[in-house]
Amino acid sequence: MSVLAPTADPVLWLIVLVPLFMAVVAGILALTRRLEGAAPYLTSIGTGIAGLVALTHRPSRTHGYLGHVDVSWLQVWDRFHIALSVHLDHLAWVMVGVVCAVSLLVQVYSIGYMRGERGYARYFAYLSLFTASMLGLVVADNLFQLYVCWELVGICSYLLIGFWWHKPSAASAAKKAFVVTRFGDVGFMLGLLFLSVAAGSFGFTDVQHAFARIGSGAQQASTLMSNEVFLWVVPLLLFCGAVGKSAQFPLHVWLPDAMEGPTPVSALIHAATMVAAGVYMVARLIWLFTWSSVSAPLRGPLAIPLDVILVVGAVTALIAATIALVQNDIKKVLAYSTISQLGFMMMALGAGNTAGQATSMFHLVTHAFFKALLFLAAGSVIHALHHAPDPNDLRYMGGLRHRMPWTALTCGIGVVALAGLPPFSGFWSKDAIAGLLMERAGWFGHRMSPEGVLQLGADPDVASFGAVVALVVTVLTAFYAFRLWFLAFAGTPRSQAATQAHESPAVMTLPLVLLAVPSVFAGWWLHHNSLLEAYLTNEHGAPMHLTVAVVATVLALAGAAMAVRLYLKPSSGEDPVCGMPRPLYALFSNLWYVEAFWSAAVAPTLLKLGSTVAWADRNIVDGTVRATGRGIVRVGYEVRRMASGQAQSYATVIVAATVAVIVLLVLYEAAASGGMP
Amino acid sequence: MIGLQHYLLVSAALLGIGAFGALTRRNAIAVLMGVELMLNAANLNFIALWRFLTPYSMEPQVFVLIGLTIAAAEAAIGLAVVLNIYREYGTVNLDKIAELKG
Repeated sequence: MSVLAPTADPVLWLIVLVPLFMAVVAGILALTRRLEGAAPYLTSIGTGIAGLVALTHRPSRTHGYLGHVDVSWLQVWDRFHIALSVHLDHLAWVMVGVVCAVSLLVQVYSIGYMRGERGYARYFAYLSLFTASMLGLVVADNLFQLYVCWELVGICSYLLIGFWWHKPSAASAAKKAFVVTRFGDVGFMLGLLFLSVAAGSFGFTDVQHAFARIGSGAQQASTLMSNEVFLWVVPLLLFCGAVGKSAQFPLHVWLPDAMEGPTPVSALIHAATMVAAGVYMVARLIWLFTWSSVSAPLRGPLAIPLDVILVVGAVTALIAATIALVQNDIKKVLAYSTISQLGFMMMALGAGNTAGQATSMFHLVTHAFFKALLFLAAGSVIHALHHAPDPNDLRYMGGLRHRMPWTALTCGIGVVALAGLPPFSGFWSKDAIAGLLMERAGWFGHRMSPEGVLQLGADPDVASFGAVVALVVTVLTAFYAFRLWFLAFAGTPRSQAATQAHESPAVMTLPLVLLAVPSVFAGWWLHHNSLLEAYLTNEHGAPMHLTVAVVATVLALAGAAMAVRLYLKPSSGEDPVCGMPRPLYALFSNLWYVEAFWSAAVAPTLLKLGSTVAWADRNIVDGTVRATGRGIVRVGYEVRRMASGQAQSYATVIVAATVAVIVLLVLYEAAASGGMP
Repeated sequence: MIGLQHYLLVSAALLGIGAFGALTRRNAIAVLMGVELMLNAANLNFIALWRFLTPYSMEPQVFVLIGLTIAAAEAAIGLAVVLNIYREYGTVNLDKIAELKG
């Protein structure tokens, strides 16, 4: 890790504060219901300013520039302090760029998509608040700020999923997203508190230095940090947060429901940025996961954080891709596709070390562009089909390529990028992940020595599993991506609404075109001379293996060809995908029974637990309080009878007590001086 | 020879009689008289102890004079209170006056 002297540049504060300010302004417009039409322009300008500031303050390897400003927020004596910061290092800079670019394009797109909606300004206030929170999360230099912003983006997600709160399905989807992610967040909070207590600081660099000092033996480990269990429990707890936020198995169930929100929201929050926060967090702390995994005494069966990450990512990628095969809702297909691709990013992180970090971020960047593009294209279709019985349903579409050429073209680019066909962006990043996993698995001739494996992290067998899953998912991804496009745009219209559809206005198609450009070129450009990897880790990654590229391309082509063969000819009967073996179809269309498991097993247990706790609160906690009050009243009632109201009886008591005290004193004196006087 | 003990015994007897009267008599006037007896017991104690223990100090005599003054004031106020009680209740029987019974 190169040591760069941070440069304090106050202008960096603008990255977070301008979108926040614009969110407040748009919120005021929304509350006063004045000039609501101005809100999108204000928030877009705010996001644009933030992006420009980041663009002009690029941390560089060659010039040794690293922007950092902070202000002490909470100082608890000399025990610890919590800072608010804008820390623009290489990793953060890449992410800030993605967030600003996608957020800006989504806001521009929303000008057209949300036109005439109630709560127009409120929508943009939420979007801008989300952008500010997400940027705050990305530029955090300490765990505390990361966590605060982590919850803030969760709140924005909740508000935006439930934007059409009058729809019961939207309201309950918002609640579901909030509650399900909370499962992971509990673990995340415990993990970061443990970590901070052990290291004595919230700051990323402080924590890393504390671990480094112990690793080099320069400092005696605190009792907590020398505890072996602690060292792999904390990363796993932190990973729980990523599982919730990045919709990994088994907490992925909230993301498909989150599609109840407006489509641009799905593009920004539930495809490109917020759901990537979990991946970003693990990438940010990859040294911790790698360190705790490669510490030799800790290596045991599945007790290794990196292996857990890899397996969770692989299972997620596989399950979500198979479910995406059989979905008929255009947004659900994309939602499961997002879950699957996030699983890919997790797999790359599971490979460990800086290589895993860079590869995962590579896929995060390309995926952000092509998945935002796909969602916005889907939004364009939904916008055009708003007269259909269900505008989201692929079965009411068909033949839209003639009616909506721009949407069809850009969506096609997104589909090809998602499928991973060369030279589109998804191809490069997905193959980088597959190649990395195969390298870890030792498929390229030499199986690594145990020492080499220890240094790198992931277990070779686990990595083999990940590599196989990656290849299988490549086929599935290409199939469902092409299926989506052919169902929507090819063939003949299958509904009245589809025949009358017309292209969306330029304010919506322009962002599509602008997103299509990086969807085509970003992969090649970033892969070229391993630009991203060199930028993030200061070391050149391995060149792409030709075999991996060929095999992955052939597999993707096979999946695509299958989809083309099945869907090119318009079939009047049922969906050809129903032709797969019955048990498989049942498994996939029932979402692998994960939803059923949650609602049948977990939810009733939790409800019972909740009602038990509520009973205990009402009867034990409240009961104690009430019993205390009632007891005191009763005691008072008894004592009251002593008050006869007759002064002489009181005086008698006083005299008797005085006499008794005197007698006792005399007796005591006598006993002390030995015998009666 | 009459010594300190004799004075103290008389004083204790006065205090006991006064306390008994104050605690047992129904009539408010009699209660006041009991209180006066107790005050005089205290005064007698003062004078006797002064005479036998610190005959060259004048402070005890001052205390006794103050005590007499207070006894006079107390008698005046007490009688005024009793007079008002009589006007209000038509009786000075303390058993009948129990407004503050809980």
